[in-house]
Amino acid sequence: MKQAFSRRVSIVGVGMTRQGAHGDADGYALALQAFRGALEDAGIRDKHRIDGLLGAKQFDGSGIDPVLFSRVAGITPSITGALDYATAAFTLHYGAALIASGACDMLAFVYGRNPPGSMVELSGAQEYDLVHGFFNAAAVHGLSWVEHMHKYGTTTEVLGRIAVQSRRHAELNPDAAFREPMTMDDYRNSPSMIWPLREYDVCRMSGGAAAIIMASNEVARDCAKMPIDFLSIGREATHALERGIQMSFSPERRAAKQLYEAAGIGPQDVDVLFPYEATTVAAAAALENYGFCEPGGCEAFVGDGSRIGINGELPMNTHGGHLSGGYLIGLTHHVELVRQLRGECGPRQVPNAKVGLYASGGGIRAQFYHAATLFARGDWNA
Amino acid sequence: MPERTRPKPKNRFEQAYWDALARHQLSLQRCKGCGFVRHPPGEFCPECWSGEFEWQPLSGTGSIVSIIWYMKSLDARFPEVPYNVALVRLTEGPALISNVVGSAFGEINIGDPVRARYCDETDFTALLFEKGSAG
Ligand SMILES: [Zn+2]
Repeated sequence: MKQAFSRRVSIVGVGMTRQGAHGDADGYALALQAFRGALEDAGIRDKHRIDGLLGAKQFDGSGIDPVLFSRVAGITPSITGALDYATAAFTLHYGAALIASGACDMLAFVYGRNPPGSMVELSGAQEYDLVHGFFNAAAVHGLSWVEHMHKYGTTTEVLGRIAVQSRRHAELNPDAAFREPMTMDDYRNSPSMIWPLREYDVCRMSGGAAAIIMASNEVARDCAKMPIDFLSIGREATHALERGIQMSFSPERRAAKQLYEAAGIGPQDVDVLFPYEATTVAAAAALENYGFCEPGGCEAFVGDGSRIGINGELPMNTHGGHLSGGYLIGLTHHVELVRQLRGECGPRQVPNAKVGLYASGGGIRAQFYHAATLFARGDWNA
Repeated sequence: MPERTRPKPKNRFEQAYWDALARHQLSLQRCKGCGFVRHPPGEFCPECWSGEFEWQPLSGTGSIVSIIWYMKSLDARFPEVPYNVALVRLTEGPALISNVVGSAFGEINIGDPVRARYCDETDFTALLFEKGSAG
């Protein structure tokens, strides 16, 4: 996407369950609860106004099938769909394009899961290569961070600062999954898992659900809350690992360029940043690749962590992110982003937040994809 | 010892790759149309889409692009830790995921030269690497 959308698209409602332990609750039951919350948040009394429904599945098969969810919720959206690589931005961009084209007027993205091993097992379980024992999505992030340390002389201290700051934010968020206080010493003493990554660098499984309702800007005027607009999107993909791609996060720089050029703003205009972080590495990479500091500069930028805190220069993942908030394919990031721009975040509210950036990257079948969105409240440039 | 499992070859080109490894020869397809050396094996060149190719025996040498160490076993088939997983860029171009054997944690780093070491399992041969230059 080289342009902002031609028809303005807004998020008009968000809903979310508490993230964490949910006993034997079914993912669809949690998703229904989140969907109800999003409809109420948008002030939509008639559920049949939803004419597009998107779901998402994880590699382990958990998640939401949109056709099945339609039956659970008793709705008949004319367009349903789910992408192969479906984390939040990828699916929301697809949904936004359906609205921008006029194919849908009001579209919901609904997701929920309550996986086995919730609160205990590390997230990202994947078997890439059974000849060589290449397991877990965090391994790819580890390969990137080893390159980063080698090239720039960075250390894991910056990753620890990010993990600790995420936990501080989660302590302020009653819906976060992991809220026990954590210090840098806790981080340094946490077991090494896939060197250079420690257990606290990798998010854990948890249960929960979230729903996002999007609408055209005209329809959004009827909704209860302040609409949050898509300003622009940025996308990039790379060839597979076998083509010798180094620094698997660096193509984000091209996504960032599209994003800022289409919106006509720069990183200095971003009030709050939401990197999709399966590991701390992704958050560190986003700081560099989306232009908040120079390549190699993330450790100096993060410093003692206060800069990415609620009252810092660049508040980051104010809900606790995936690391402490709970992994939900980037959807809790969007719920928090919308609430921050509306000013609803109470003790963790970023003062006067008007522009938010969500940035995500990830690998599938050894190719890497990056997707980012700039969001703003209507009066952002007033 | 890890319990290595070979993926089921998805096509006859992957089968030929594994057959060569069983003879302790690393061979990849070199495109006759444009010269591109591809991996994983497949029917067409991903650069020019030509189906014409020859199997090119490779030197088996390369260098470390990046390397991680599993300090905790994440799978019962790989119980012994630490073990490493490395992205190795072959001298002839492509990169692949493998293990560097014979080096302890801290003894092998980005940029180090490595050479192929063939590891015979009961029903296939795995391509591993060890630190060092050609031959
Ligand atoms: Zn070719």
